[in-house]
Amino acid sequence: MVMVFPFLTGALAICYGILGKRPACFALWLLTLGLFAGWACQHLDGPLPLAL
Amino acid sequence: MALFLQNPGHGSRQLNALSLFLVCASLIFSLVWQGLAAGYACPMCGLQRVALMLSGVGLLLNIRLGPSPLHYAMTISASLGGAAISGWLALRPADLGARLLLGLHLYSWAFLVFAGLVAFSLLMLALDRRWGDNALKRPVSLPGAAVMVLFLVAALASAAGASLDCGVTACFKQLAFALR
Repeated sequence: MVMVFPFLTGALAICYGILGKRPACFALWLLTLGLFAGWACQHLDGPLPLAL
Repeated sequence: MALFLQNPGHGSRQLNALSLFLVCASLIFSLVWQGLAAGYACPMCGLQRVALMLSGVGLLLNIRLGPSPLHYAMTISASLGGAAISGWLALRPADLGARLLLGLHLYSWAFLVFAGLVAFSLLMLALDRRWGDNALKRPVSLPGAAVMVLFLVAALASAAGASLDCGVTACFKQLAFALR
């Protein structure tokens, strides 16, 4: 999975945030959150060592 | 609660700027620490940095546009995601070779930072509700502007660190493969 892509979209969201453009910033933030979730799903595949 | 009644939003934005500065310090420190300790960042460590960056975007919008429940919700949701990753790492069998910072692993510190961000945002949501939601740009003080620029630099440094981990061309080859 790409490791750099969420950082780039996140940095772009920060740029729009600094410019005060909330819709664009929020859209890029959502995209980064989606990439974060996808990345997490790919790596959180091992069983948790919990005895319930 | 009339904590910010005299000058609505002003004290709140200062507190948000301070929090964003702490987020920047955490981002830069984790990058330096992992570079020194392991020479590379594990995928989960990169994920924690992404979550930290996403949490900071809500704080940045609070500084730039004024406090809003939406911005605090952005910070809380990203922090919960980051806390989930840190908690998952903490529940795995301990890596005996890992370097400790003041007796704790870095992911334990990350969990505390995310928990602190959630607590801060919840507190501010409770105390700061007079300000309301507004997307009008507001003049930012010099320290606030400096913190926002520092946050952008920290995010770009994190991106550079991630590209050094997998190599720039390898990263884009993986992207092309993932999109196929």
